[in-house]
Amino acid sequence: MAQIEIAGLRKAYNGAVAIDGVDLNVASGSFVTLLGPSGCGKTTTLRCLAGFITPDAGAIRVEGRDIMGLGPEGRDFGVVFQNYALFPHLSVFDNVAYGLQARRVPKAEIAARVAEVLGLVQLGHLKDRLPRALSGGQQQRVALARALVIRPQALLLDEPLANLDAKLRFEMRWLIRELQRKAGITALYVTHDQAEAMALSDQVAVMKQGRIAQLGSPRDIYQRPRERYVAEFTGEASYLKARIAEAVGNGRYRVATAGGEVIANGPAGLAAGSRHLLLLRPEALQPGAAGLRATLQGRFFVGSAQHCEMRIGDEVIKLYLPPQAELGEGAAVTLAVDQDAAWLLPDEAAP
Amino acid sequence: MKARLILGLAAGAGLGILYAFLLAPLVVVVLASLSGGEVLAFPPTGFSLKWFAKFFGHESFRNALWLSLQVAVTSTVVVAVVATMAALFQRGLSRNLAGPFRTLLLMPLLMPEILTAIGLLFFLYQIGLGNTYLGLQIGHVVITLPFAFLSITSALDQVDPALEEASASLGAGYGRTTLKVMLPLIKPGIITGGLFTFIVSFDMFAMSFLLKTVGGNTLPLALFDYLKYDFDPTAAAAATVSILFALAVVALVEKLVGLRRAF
Ligand SMILES: Nc1ncnc2c1ncn2[C@@H]1O[C@H](COP(=O)(O)OP(=O)(O)OP(=O)(O)O)[C@@H](O)[C@H]1O
Ligand SMILES: [Mg+2]
Repeated sequence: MAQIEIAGLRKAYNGAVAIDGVDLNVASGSFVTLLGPSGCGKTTTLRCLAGFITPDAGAIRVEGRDIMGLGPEGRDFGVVFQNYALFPHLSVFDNVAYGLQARRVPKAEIAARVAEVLGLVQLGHLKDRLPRALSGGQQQRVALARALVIRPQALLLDEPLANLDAKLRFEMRWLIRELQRKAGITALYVTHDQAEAMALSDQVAVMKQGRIAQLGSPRDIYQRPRERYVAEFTGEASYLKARIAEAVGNGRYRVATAGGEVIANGPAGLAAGSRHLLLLRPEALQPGAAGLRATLQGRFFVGSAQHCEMRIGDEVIKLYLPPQAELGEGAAVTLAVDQDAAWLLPDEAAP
Repeated sequence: MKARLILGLAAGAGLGILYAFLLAPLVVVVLASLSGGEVLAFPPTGFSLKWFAKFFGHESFRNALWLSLQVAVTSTVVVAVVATMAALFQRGLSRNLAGPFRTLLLMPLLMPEILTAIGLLFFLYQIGLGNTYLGLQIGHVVITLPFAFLSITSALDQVDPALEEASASLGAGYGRTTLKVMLPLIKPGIITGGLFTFIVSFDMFAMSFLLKTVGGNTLPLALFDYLKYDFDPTAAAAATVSILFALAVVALVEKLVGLRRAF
């Protein structure tokens, strides 16, 4: 368990900048996820932290102590790799025992600790198997056990579920979260799957081109993104051009859109008359008595809901309707806006 | 369907011819060594083991066989160790250093053996190792090192770099990672390399010819000397013994690790 502080981390590969000043504070015992599209520098950040690559600039401190001078073997982080990286010539037991042997833990204690952690990941019965005789999910659990058994300062996981099928990914998510909580261990997790990031994390750091665009709780980054990029990356989103009519409370505004006036949340201190984008998550909208005037442009049925496209002026927004709702195309609908799920973003296109 | 059949037959025939050329000399030599007649000839006349008796009764052959075994075993051990260290070292080098390092190590393979031998001969005399057993041994190591190096680097290339990182992150230093992860994973490559080394060293001619000590023949040299004056089936017996040793080594490796894993 340890608090980790990353400051001004920079790394370029042959002149191509991979990360460009990453600052991140991971509180002791918390689960923080780096979320971002392919190539934004998540793996590079994690590998700098693990000590596999040396950053060009920046500092990494664990519990206030600079660890830049240490190699990976001295950092005491448990790393879980995307392709598991199990030792193919060692049995499940020996894979898990490896880190304890390197630490010269007495044999009897090794046996006890390995047995305990294999029990946690429900693999006790397979301890004599070689990795190649295990399924992907089982291999991933061995990798997790191997990283946990050394009781490291922190757990570093780079897309550990990316190679698993959807159902298994779901189960493993819970297992990882549960083990992390139980051990009270600090975890830094890398993924490009926003649902995974939300489900697992205390804090999500959304990365954009080698920097952290926003750090916040899953609720924060989903409901109160600081920019369109973050909104886009954290879930389904629609936007309407909006002008602030007046502030109606702290961080609450009446705004004018092409579909009429609505109440929305936003950062404090937005000036009346200024132009913004109104972020509308699909679940924030429902047909109602008062709200945005829209016409149904198209819809398709996905089982649990109908996904609809609504036209408002020359803008289009998305909305989910219950499966049984009967609406013809071209129908005029008034959409009530859940104020807590409508959020004002800076309009990057506006001057 | 028909094209496939013809192609299959052609491939089979080609392979048959290839095998015939590869195996015919072996068969001829072995059969000739069992001949009851007095001259080296094929087909053999009669059957006897007397040529083997003569071979082992011949002191110069016995000494040569012993020397060959000594040189080949020493080469195998030295080369296995040095080539493994070189391969591990190369893995740690950056890409623009690894290339030249590799080329340098493979040089003896690219040059005609006789040229390497002549160069080495001059060099060994300069440093006072001319006409010594050590000089001969060095020559064998120089020639066989590239074979083992190639076999070990190709095994090493199969090892996922993430395994080294995993090992390090679990607290293992370079030594432990090498010993517990890298060496076990490249063991088949080392064994294959050692096998090549033994066989190449055991059969080496040009290098031995130039670097041998006075009176210190290896088996191929003794055989060559013998054939200069005699032409009886003892020569075939010597060759057969040579083949048997090569087979014995292969069998030993098969027994120890299983060739399927080694290759
Ligand atoms: N070893 C390397 N040599 C050169 N460039 C690299 C290397 N590793 C990463 N890069 C580059 O650095 C940038 C960031 O890569 P990184 O692997 O950190 O991305 P990522 O966010 O983990 O992406 P992904 O989700 O695809 O894994 C990319 O543009 C990538 O091409
Ligand atoms: Mg990555």
